[in-house]
Amino acid sequence: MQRFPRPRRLLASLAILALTPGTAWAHEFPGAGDFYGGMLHVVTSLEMLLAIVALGILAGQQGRSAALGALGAFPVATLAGGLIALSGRDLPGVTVPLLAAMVILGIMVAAARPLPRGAIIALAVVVGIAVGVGNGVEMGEGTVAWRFLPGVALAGTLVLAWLVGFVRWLRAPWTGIAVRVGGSWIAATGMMVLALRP
Amino acid sequence: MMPFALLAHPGAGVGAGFAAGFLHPLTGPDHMLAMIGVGIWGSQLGKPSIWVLPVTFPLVMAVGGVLGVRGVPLSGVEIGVAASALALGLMILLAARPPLWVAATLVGIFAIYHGYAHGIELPSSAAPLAFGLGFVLATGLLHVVGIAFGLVHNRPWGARALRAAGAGIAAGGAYFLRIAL
Repeated sequence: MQRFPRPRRLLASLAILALTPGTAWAHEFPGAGDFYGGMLHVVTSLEMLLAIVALGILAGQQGRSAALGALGAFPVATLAGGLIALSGRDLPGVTVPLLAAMVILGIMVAAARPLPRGAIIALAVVVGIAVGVGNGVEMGEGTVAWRFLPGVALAGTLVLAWLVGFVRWLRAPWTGIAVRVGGSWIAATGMMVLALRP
Repeated sequence: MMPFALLAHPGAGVGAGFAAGFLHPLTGPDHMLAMIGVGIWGSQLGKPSIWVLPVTFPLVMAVGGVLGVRGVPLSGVEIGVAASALALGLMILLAARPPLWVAATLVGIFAIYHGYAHGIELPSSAAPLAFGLGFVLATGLLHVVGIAFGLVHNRPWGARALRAAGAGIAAGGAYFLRIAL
């Protein structure tokens, strides 16, 4: 199979990144079915998407072992979060934890200091549970949980894997700085929106 | 193309919020001059400023943004923004090389004013997260524009071209300062 030259692949990736978030911001997906509805639900919630993106960048930046740990822990934690939501208990909202995760993960990316693998896995678990709970509590009447939740976990993990792969694929020295700048952008955004809360 | 076609969806507030946030720094010429100036000065100063400034600026700007979001009174924001364009322009014109902490403090004070001016708009947005993301991205991309322009620094004519750009930024800043005062 012929592979694209690098600049073209980079441009194609950026184009996909630029176009994806715009495709559907509505939170109900008639006709998509519960599994695909779950996949769409997680990527059309901006705070969930940004928290997962920040986690992916950090995991990719920290190296192979940490990245694999995060990729393994995230889907399990997401499903666990979904089950917690199903339990019907009165749960706190996940917006604040997700915004806080954006700030913490973004600052870690900007600082670019090596972190223990366990810390990355713990962060992946926290983000995964928040994403699972956030999607689970928004499931509509009649949505089949065992279809919807795996869709959520799959789409979230795909986004995570895409970011991990992208960051680990970067080679040129300046891209290391660009990744750190990206982290600082995510942290800055989360910080200001967090300040909206009373 | 695709995103615009679908803006009619009920969730369109996110698209509109992002667009409003993204355009906010781009529609204020005083902001734009100062942000491009940060990038140019960063690359004129070379390592480590070339990356310290674009990494730390958004975080310090967010502190100003938080003040704006919380409605903490801060007087002379327009003056601060215009003065920052003037001062940054002068630094570039003179190719000034203060120690890193002096440059960082100077840029940091300006960052707070800039963040405040954007942050004060955030609570009125229907989609604050999209608005915030848009304005942080636009600000960061203006730094990138400045840094990219600053890369001519190593060419024989580059240093002079940068100083000329600094003179332009300083003149613009002086103009907006006069309006603000």
